[in-house]
Amino acid sequence: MDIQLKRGFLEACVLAVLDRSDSYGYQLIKDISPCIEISESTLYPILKRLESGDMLSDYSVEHNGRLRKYYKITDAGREKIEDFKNEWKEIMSVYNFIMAKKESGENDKN
Amino acid sequence: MTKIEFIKELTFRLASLPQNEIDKSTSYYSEIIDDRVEDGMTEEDAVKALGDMDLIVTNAMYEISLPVLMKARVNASRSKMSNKGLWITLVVLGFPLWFPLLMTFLAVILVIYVTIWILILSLYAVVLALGISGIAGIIGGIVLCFIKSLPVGLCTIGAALCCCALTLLITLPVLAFTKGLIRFTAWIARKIKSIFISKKAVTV
Repeated sequence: MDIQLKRGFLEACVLAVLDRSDSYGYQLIKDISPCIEISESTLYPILKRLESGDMLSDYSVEHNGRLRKYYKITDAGREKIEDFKNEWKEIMSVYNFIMAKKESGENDKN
Repeated sequence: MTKIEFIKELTFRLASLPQNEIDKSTSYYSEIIDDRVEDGMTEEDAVKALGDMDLIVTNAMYEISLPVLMKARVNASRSKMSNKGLWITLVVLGFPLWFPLLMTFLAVILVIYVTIWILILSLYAVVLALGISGIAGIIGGIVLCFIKSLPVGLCTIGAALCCCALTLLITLPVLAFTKGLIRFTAWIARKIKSIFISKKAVTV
C-alpha cells in the first residue's frame, strides 16, 4: 500500500480507537492490527504526529508498580475523523467510477 | 536481548537527539515490552517482537524537526572523529565551502516554501477579488439603473453575476488545490529530512 495512504489510514484508526475509549500503546496495537498491519515502531511516529497536531493528549496511570501512558482524543482529533470520513466519500465515488467503467467495458466486450 | 540491553542500545543510537526525545522514545518502548511480558511473552521475545532496531531509530527520528535533525547529524559526525582539534580545524578551514553550500540549501528550501505559499495566497486573492467585485457590481448596478440608465445598470449587474458565478465555481477547486499543495510541502519536508537520516528502509 502507498506509504502516505497508509499513514493516513493508521492515523484515522488510532483516533477511531481513542474515540471509543482512552488507550495505551500496546492496547492500540492489539486493537488496530486485526484491521491493518501496524508495528510498535510504526505507531510511535504516528502518536507523536497526532500529539504535535493537538489531536490527542496523554496522561500517566500507575499500573503494577510502573507508569503507563494513556492517550486521550481531543476535539481536533474528532474533527480529523470527520475529515477522514468526508474524504472517504470522495474516494469511494472515484472507486465506484473506476469499477463501473471497468465493468461496462467488460460487458461491451461480451 | 533483554529489556535493559535494548533500552541501552536505543539510547546509544538516539544519543545525538535532545534528552527529552530520547526519554520519550525509551519510555514508550519500555512500556510496550512490559505490557508484552505481562501478556505472557518472555522478555527476550518481547524485545524481538519490536523488530529491527534500524527501523525503530529511523521512525523515531522522522517526527523530529529539521534543525534538530541537522544538529544531531553534525554531532554524530563530530563524535565519530576522535580528534576534536582536527574536527574544529576542518570546520574552520572548510568554512568557505560548507557555509555557502548550507546557505544555498536553506535558501532553496525557503524559496520552495515561499513560492507555494504565494501561489496559495494569490489564488485566494483571486477568489476574494471576484467575490467582492461580484457583490459590489450587483449593488452598483442597481444604483446605476436609477441614476444613469437601465441598460448600463443591467449590463453591470450581468457582469457582476458572472463574477459571482466564477467565485462559486473556483472556490472548491482552489480549496482542493491548497490541500494538495500542503500535502506536497509535507512530502518535501519528509524528503529533506530523509537526507539527514541514515539510508535505511522505512515502511511508514
